Amino acid sequence: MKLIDKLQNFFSSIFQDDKKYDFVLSQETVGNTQPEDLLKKQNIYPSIDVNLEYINARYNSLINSDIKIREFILNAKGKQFKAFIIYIDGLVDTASINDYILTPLMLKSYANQNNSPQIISEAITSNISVRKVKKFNIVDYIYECLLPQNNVKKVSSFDDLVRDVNFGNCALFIDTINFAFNIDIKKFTQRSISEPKNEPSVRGSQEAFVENLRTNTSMIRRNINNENLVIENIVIGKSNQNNCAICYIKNIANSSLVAEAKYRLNNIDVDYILSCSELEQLIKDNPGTTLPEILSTERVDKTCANLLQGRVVIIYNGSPYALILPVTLFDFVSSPEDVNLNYHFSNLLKLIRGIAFFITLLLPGLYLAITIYHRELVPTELLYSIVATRVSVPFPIVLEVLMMELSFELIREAGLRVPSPLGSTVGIVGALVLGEAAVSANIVSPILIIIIAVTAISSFSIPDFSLSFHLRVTRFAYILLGSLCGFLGIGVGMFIHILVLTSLKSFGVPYLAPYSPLSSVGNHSYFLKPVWKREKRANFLKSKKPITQEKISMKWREK
Amino acid sequence: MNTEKLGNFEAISLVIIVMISHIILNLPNEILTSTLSAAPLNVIYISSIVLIFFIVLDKFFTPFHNKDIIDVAEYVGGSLLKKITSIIYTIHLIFISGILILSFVDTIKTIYLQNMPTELICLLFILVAILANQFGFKSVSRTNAILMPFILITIVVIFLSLFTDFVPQRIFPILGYGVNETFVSGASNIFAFGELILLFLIRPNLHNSKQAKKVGIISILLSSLFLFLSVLALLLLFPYITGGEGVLSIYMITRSIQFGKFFQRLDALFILIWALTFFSYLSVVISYTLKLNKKATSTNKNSPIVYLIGLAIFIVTLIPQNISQIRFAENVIYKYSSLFIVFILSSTILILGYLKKKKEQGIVKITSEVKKDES
Repeated sequence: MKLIDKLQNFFSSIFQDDKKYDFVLSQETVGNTQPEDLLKKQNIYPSIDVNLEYINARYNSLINSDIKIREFILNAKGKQFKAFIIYIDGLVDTASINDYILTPLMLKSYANQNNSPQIISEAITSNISVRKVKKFNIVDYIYECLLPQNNVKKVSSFDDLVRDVNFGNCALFIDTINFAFNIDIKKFTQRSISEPKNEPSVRGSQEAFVENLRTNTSMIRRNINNENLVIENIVIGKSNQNNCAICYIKNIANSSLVAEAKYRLNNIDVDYILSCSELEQLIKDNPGTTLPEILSTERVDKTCANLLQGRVVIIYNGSPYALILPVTLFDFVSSPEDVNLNYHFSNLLKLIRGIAFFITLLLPGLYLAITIYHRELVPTELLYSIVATRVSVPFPIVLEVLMMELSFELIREAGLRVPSPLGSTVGIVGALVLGEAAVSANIVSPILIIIIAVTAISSFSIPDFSLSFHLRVTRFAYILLGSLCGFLGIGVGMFIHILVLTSLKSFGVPYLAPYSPLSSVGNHSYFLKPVWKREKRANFLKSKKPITQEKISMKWREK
Repeated sequence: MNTEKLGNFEAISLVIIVMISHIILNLPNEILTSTLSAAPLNVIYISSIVLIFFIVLDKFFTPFHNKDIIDVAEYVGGSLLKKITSIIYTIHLIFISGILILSFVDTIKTIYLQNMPTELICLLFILVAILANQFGFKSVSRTNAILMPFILITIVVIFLSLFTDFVPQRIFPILGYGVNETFVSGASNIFAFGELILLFLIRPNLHNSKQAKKVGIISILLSSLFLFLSVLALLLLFPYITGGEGVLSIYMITRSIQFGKFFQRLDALFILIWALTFFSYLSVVISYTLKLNKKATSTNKNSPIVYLIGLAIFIVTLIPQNISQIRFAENVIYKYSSLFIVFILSSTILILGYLKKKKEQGIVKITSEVKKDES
């Protein structure tokens, strides 16, 4: 570069405005959605060129790298037709396409070239041979002789076809035919069936759901050997037309329950849903409440047990969880381990979980109420030690509790979000360093650390994640109420909480059933009965088969 | 199907919770003051009277399937009597609930919430009850049914935990001030069951008259039992009840409870249970006052009337100027208004309704016989 150019550049860079790279999203015109609408709701044309053009436009195949369209000449009984197949690379088994679609359709084998008519029956009378010949039909011939696939459907609507192609099917278009062959040739890499990570069980099954819908339904089928198990598919979403399976046992589940579940699923008008948690929020009875109204599980055995009880299960493609409905509050406090243990042990664990439920919800609030308003409730010696530990703490007790609760929530959130190798570090830093340092620095009293720790441990013993969340959120309300009015405040909270619980319903079943309204508790109480006494299904499910087993199930005991 | 129908347990809970709220307040104290050591005997006596009274009235109710006292009033005296009865019942319910809440709030304030204004605590109770009614009658009745066992257990626990401290000799003289005070003037203590007014209003929420009878009898028996236990505990525990401490008589009992050396003052725990009782009581009263008013004014909307009822109760809580006025309202006004409304007005309406029904049925019978003869 010449010196003069350098100087020119130098001065221009000094006096020029700063040029910043500034990208702004422009407003798209609304009108461009019209061609997309026109593309939809269309039937397949008889002309292959028009079909090809349509598919190219709909799939943007010129810019889409994984959309594969293969044009070829189809040979059938000596005749040749223009044809093409379309599939998505990565979702199909390409070897099967080569071996069982393209090879039979393209290769000119002797049988395929032989144009002689197909004889159905032949009768010879008085040296006269009478042959019944089947009229040649190219479509039937291709379907019956050239496509050695177990799952081939004739589809006349582009919408249905495109949806299946998106799921990994292959579509075959042939000139002059106004429908396409929809060939199931799916094969894609997926996560293998693994152990349930969030609902572990010592003696229960070690199978958990995966993201693939069909794998999940097959696991249920394997566990429930009953032809009355119905698995219906419903498509949800407009932009992302994803499959969702609704499962129930026809001769056990209440028909109106099944109808209601289908009604809600069929009347979801959303653009897309990506997980069953979103679906859960769209079909629950009271979307405004923080209480869970549908049970979500990754365990296959738990799902099957609920199906056999007469409940309905919803599985969403792409989500490794099944939704169980209807449910009551007590279902969220049940652990998968309960049914696998001796009922004495299960009931002890259930009792402990019940206590943990109340500790999680009330302990910090009660601590505040007692220490601020009801000190006489605390034995004198204990009261002295509480007062002694609080002497050097400068904050009011309510602020102390809120600070510790907030710190604990931070530690928990950080522990969940950091990469797993760092999780334990966060725990150590949070629990040991902060806890110990906070006490040494006289920011909080040691007794409060104990209260918060017991509350936290109790919250971990609640088996359901959503219920645990609800308790965490509501606990703050009890803290405020307890600090404002003592036991009166706690009473306000409890009364409103019970009101909310009694007003809720999950798919027509009262949330506190069978205790409120008081129906027959005996067959489905909070505590488990021995296996041989579980003779009836839950009353509130109004199952078609209320009896599960006869009064005497251990017939071998009878002589 | 009527969605507001109640099961036996829910219906009994509704009636009992209203009764218990009186027992928690100064009802046992009041009975003890008037009859002294004959109080347990007097409770048995007035319970028997109330039970017989109920069984007799239930007979009069039989021709009116699933109808409450307001419907019967309409049948007897048309729209005018219906409206007058509704107004009397509404005023009674609002006034009594306001006074009871104020009495309880005053006690809570004396015990531990000295720095909080009485009006604010009353408002808290009323707001919670209004909120409860926004959830609907079903939720209110179910919440009651959940709380009722705990509340009853509390009274049993109180009685059993003090069993060793009882002095049985305090039951003597068994006739207290004498036969006249126990059985003649003492009969006016049936006002203790004044809240059985609910039994005249609950019938449309029950499935049939048989259930109504069952609910009524069980409610009266259980209420009597708990009143008896409370009175007995007070009598056997304290040498003389002055009632001048300005706190609940049952609360005074709970202060004596101790389990070993570790738990020596458990009275605060009972405050929690009783607060729940009063939330429940107020919700039930507002529910039924709402039903009364909806019936009288032929409206379907809940919200505006609920707020108005809440406001009326709050205004009532502002009327008494001191504790003696509260006690006067609680013991005198409540006593006579209950005696008049529950035992005189309601029974008169019922008897008139019964006679009118019988007369009509008689006319119908005669007419049909005449027609038969003519044919």
